[in-house]
Amino acid sequence: MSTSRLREILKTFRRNPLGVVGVSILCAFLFVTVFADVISPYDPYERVGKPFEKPSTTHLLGTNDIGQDLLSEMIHGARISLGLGFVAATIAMTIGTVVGVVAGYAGGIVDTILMRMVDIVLVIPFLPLMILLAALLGPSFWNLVLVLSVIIWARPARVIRAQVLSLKERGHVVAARSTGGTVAHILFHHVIPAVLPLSLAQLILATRTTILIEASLSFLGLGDPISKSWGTILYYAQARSAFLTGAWLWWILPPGLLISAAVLGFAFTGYALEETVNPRLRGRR
Amino acid sequence: MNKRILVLGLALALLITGIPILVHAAGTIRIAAHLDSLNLTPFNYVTGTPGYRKMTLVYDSLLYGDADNIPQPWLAETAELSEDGLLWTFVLREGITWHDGEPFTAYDVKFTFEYYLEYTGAGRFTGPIARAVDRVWAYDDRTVKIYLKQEEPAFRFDLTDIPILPRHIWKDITDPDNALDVSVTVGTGPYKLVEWREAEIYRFEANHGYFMGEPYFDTVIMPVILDSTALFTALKVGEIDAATLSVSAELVAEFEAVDGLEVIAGPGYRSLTLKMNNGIPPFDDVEFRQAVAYAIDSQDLVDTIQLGYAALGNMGYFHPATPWFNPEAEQYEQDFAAANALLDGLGYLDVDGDGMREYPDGSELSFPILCRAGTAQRTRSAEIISDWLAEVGLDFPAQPMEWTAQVGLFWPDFNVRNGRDYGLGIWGWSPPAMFTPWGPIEMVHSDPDYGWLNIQGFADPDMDALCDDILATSDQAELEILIDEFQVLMADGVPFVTLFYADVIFAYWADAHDQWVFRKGEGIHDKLSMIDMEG
Repeated sequence: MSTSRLREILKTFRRNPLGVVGVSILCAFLFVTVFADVISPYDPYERVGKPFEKPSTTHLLGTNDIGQDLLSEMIHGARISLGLGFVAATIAMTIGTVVGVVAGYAGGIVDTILMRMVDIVLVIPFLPLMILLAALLGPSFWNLVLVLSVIIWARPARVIRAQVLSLKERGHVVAARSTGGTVAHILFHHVIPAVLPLSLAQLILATRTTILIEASLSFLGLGDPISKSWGTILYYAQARSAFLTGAWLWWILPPGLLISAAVLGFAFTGYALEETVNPRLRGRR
Repeated sequence: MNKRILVLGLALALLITGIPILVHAAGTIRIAAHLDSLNLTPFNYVTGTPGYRKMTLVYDSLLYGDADNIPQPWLAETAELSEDGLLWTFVLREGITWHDGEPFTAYDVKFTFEYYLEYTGAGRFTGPIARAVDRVWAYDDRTVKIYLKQEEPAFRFDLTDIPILPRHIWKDITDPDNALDVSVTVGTGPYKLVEWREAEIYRFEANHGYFMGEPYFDTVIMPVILDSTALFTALKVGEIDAATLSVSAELVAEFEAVDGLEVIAGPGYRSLTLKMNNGIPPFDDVEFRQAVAYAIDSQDLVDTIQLGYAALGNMGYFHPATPWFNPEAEQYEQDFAAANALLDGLGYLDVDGDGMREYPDGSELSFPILCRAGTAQRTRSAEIISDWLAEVGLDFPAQPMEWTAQVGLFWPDFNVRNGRDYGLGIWGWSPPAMFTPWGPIEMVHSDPDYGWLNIQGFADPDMDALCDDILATSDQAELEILIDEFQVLMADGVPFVTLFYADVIFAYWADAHDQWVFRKGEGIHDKLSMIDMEG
C-alpha cells in the first residue's frame, strides 16, 4: 500500500464521524489494556475484601463472591476480553484472507471446493457448534481462540474472494499477467496489497464478533472460569445469584456496558473503515 | 376490559416463559424440582437429588430411614434378625394395596429381589442383593424370609433403600431400562404419579389411607425449573411453595427478609474433597499429602465459599454431626511452616530459583488442580487452594474441565479397577456415603470389591485390616471404637483432604406447608415431610 493511498484513506476516514467515535473508544480501551496494572486499585487475583461487599469508597464496585475487587477485575478483564478477541480475529482473518485470495485468484475447481467449505461453515448452526466445540475441547484460553477462529473465518473469506475476482480483471493485473508475471509476483504485488485494507476492516468487525461470542461462551460457563474476562465476571455474577440479590447493579451492569462499548467501538471503526476502503459503499449513508 | 388485558398479559407471559402458571388451590402444594427425573421407577429415576426422594413418594421399602437415618419398619410391620445374624424375618403390614388396587403381598417382595438380580440396570439395588442375599422366600402372604450369605450388619441400611416392585406389572417387563411410561410407575407409596411431561411437570395425587399416615396434600405439583435464577425468583414471589434445590448461601439473607418465606438450614452430608492420586509421585508419599493438607485452611473456605454455611472438613471424613464423629483425629490446621518443613525434608526444593519446588531429581513439578467447570463452588475452591499451594512453592494451578471428562480421568466407567489418570482435583461425594458407619470404607479399602469408591487409589494394609474388622463387627460398642480408630488412621494417612460439608438450606412458604421433617444431612424433601405420621 503506497503512502499516498494511506493518506487518502486517513483523510476520508476522518470525515466519518462514526469512525472517529469508534476509534476514540478503541483508544480508550487500548489505554486501559496497556496500563491495567497502574490503573486498577487492587490485584484482581487477590482476595482483598469480604465476599459480596457492596460498593464503597474502598471498593468502588464492591467485591465478587470470593472477595476480589470487582473494578480491578473489570479493568484487567479488558486485557483478556479484547486480547482474546483480537488474537482469535487475527487468526480467523489470516485464514479468511488466504482462502479468499486463493479461491478468487485460482478459480475453477479450487474455488468451488473452497467456497463449498465456506458454505458448510456458514450454514452450520453456529451456537450449537460453538457450545459443542467448547465443551469437547475444554475451557482454556487457546481452545477458545481456536473455537472462535474456526467459526469466524468463513464470512470474510467470501468478501475477500469477491474483491479478488474483480481485481483479477483490472487492467494492471491483466497486464502483469500477460507480460508473464509469476503468480507469486502478481499476488504479492497487486492482489494482496489491494485487499489488505479490506482485510483490516473485516478484522476489526470480526473482533467485535469474537468479543461478543467470548462473553456469551464464558457467561454460559464454557469459557475458562479462571481467566478474568468480562464474560467470566458475568458468569460468576449469574452463578452467585446477582440477579436476585440486587448485586446486578454493580456486578452485571458495568461489565455489560463495557462489552457493549467495546463492541460499538469495533463496529463503528470497522464500518467506517469499510466505507473508506470500499468506494462503492461510500455514498450510501 | 382490564380483565381481558390481564388474561392477554398472562397468556403472553406463558408464551414467553414456557413455565406453566400455577394456581394455588386448597390441598395442593407446588414444589419446584431443579432437575427432571424421568418416570420415577427404580430403574429410571435419575440418581441423586431430587430423583431418589421423588421416587420414594411412589415406592416403599421394607424398612425406611427416620429423620436420623435410623432404619425403621415400613412395609414390614416387624423385622427380626436371627441370633446368628443370617436370617431376616419380615411380617408385612396388613391391607396394603398397590396404587392400581391390587393387593401387596410377600410374593411381590420375593419377586423384587429376584428381579433386581436378573436386571442389573438399577445397580444401586442389585449390588447389595448380589453381595449379601443367599435366597428369599415368601412364607405366606405376609411373611418374607431372607437368608444372608454371611453376617452383614450393613444390610439393615440396604433394606431402607431397596424399593419394592409390583409383581403383576414388572413380570412382563423384559427391558426395564426403557419402561418409561407413567403407567408403569405403580407403587405402594403415599402419592401416585398421575402425570409426567419430561423436563416440564410432575403431578402426584394422594394415596388416601396410606398405611404410615394420611398424605397432607390431595395434589402435589412439581414443575421442573432448570435455571436456578428462575427457580429462586419463582420461590421468592410465591409462585411455588418450595424447591428441591438447596438455597445458595448468598440468598439466605435475601429470603429471610421476605415475610412468610421460611428458611431452614442444617448439616449437609455432601462432602467436598481435594483428591490426590495416591498411586503416582509425588502424591504416593504420605508426607507429601500431609504437606498439602497443612497448606489448606478449611475455615477460610467455609467462610468465603459458603459464607459460613458449612461444617469444617474432618480429615477422618465423618461429618461432625454424625454419631460416629471422632474429634481426636488430626485436623491439619493451616500451617505453611509445617508444610514447608515436610516438603524440604522430602527433598522437594526450588533448585532453579523460579519460586516453585521441583522434584528431588530436579525435574519440573507441576499438576493442574482439576475441577468441574460450571460449578462456582468448585472452581473457586480450586482457585483459592492453588494460591495456598503456591505459598508453599507448589505449582498446582486450577484447571476447570467438563464434568464427564473429569469423571473419565478420575473414575473411568465408574469402576476403580480401570485405574485413574490425574494428579489432583476437586471431587464431591453425596450424602449417603455418610449415612452408615461403613460408607467411608468404600473410599479407602484397596480391594475394589469393598473400596469401589477408592478413586484416589489409596492402599494401606493397616487400613484394609481395620476395614475388614469393622465390616465383620456386629457389636455396637466395638464398632464405635473401631470407627474412632478408622478416623485417626484416615487423618494420618491423608488419602484425600476433606475441605468442607456445605449445609443444606431450604426455603418454603409456611402458609402452604409447615410440617417439614429435616432428614439429617440431606434436607426436607422427603416422604416423611409429606405424610401425617402423628395423626
